[in-house]
Amino acid sequence: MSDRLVHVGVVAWAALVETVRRKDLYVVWMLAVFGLAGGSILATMGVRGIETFLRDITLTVVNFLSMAICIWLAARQVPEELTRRTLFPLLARPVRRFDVLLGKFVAVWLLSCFALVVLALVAWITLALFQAQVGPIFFQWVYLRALSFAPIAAMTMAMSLLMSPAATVVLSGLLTLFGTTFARTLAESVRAAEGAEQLVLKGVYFLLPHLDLFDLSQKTAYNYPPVPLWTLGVLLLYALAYVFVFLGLGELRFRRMAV
Amino acid sequence: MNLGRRGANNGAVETAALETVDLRIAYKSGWRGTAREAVSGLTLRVEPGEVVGFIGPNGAGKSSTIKALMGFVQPSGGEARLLGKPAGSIEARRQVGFLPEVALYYPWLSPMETLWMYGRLAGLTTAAARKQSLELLRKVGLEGREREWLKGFSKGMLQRVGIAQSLLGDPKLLILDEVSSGLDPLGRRDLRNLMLEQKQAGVTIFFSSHELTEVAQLCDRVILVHKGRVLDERPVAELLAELRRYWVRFRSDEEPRFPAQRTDQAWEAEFTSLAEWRKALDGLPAEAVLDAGEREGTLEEYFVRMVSD
Repeated sequence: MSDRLVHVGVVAWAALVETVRRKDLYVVWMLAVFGLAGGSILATMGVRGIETFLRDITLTVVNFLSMAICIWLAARQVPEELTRRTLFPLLARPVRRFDVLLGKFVAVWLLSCFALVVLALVAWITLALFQAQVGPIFFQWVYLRALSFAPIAAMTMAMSLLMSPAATVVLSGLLTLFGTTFARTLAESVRAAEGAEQLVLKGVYFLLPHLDLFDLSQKTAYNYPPVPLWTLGVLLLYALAYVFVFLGLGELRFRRMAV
Repeated sequence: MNLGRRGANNGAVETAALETVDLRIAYKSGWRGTAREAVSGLTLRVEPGEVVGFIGPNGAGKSSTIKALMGFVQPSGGEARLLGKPAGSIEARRQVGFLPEVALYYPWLSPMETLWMYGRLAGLTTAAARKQSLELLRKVGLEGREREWLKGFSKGMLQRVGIAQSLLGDPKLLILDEVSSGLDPLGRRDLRNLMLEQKQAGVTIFFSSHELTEVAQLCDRVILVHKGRVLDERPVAELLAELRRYWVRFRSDEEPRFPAQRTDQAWEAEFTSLAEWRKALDGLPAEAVLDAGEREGTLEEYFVRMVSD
């Protein structure tokens, strides 16, 4: 194995072990327990006729919570290394700063995926309790959500090199929300605008990751058939392109940053 | 810029273990703030195998210099090299062990895991990293505590972990910032032994410390920095000899012919030179001399004198 892969793996391992040991993911267990308990209580009351609404709301809640966990984990990785001064012995080794960033990114992505899988499992059980079963597209929804965490984590980590963790969480949260919810509205705005305004809107449209592409919650709620597999492949490449761009920007900042 | 030095005999260029030429480091506060220079044209050289103490008052530029040597900050001017490689480069860091001034390390990892991690980053195999980690933890006195999480460790114990991590991978050059910080007397003894062991193995050691007794015991040479520049550099033996004082206490009804201070019962005089002291003793009647002797100088006196001037 090349040295660089070892470096990335070791940094990711340390971040993973630390997050697990300091019980950061307890929030996921707590949310899972609350979700299951709430669902079980409601299920006893009967929800006939509103299964689609239940599917929609459950998946939206999972979308939101897993995204929040991803942003929160990504925003603190590098700033915490700085405040704890653990970055010094790390960077004193023959390690490239980009590899540190990549290792942290891998850890955040894996942890976010783990949180998503737990929450998705709870959602699946809860919906089963309501007799509001979901089709095979559910698994594609999970896959694409997991994929969407890659650009979100990379963007958040790049921003955390420029601002405080609190500011990073707020801004990254807003951008993610914007990319998920208003991307289509933006496309319509581009068509409607003219001149310089259109140019600016076009710039924003092409620069921001279209996170709405990774959201199959509506299709899952309405029990659509699965999307073609090539779509999933293209979206994987799309996500990787944004990871490359955001981590690259992060590296540009990190490389020159005084620690 | 050529950072080598020509040897006297064969004309070959000797590579310094550590060298800076006209190093400048400036920190800018805010986007439009003015830059404040922490290091202003610092030039120094450490030969392979030397143990050099890097001393100076707070804010003298010691930590900034060390950060530039490790590549943590970009110098605003000048040049720095470690073992002939540009400071901060991967090639330089491959051969250097570093102890930061204050590091908390990963609170949820054990010393064994921490050292294994740094060992792997230093290029050791998994097995070698594990073996060296165990060995070093024993050397720094943390045997039996290898598996405890660091969050329960005291500052001194974390410093021991730090010292152990700096020695991983058998570095050729050790850069230690505030090396004895937080260590109890036993820890300092262990540290002294470890550093002497490293010195005997030919490792170059460059360390900053405010513990001047430690510096005097361990170093071949001291470099004193003040206001971002080298104020003085001297072999420790030469310095201590220079700081040695000779004194005499004697009775006399008359004013002596050399500078002396009158106390209640007698006169007291102190000399910086052995010859002057002997001359003074020879000039005094034997029965008048109450006491005489020599006193070792301390780096503290030197430090205070140099920095206060």
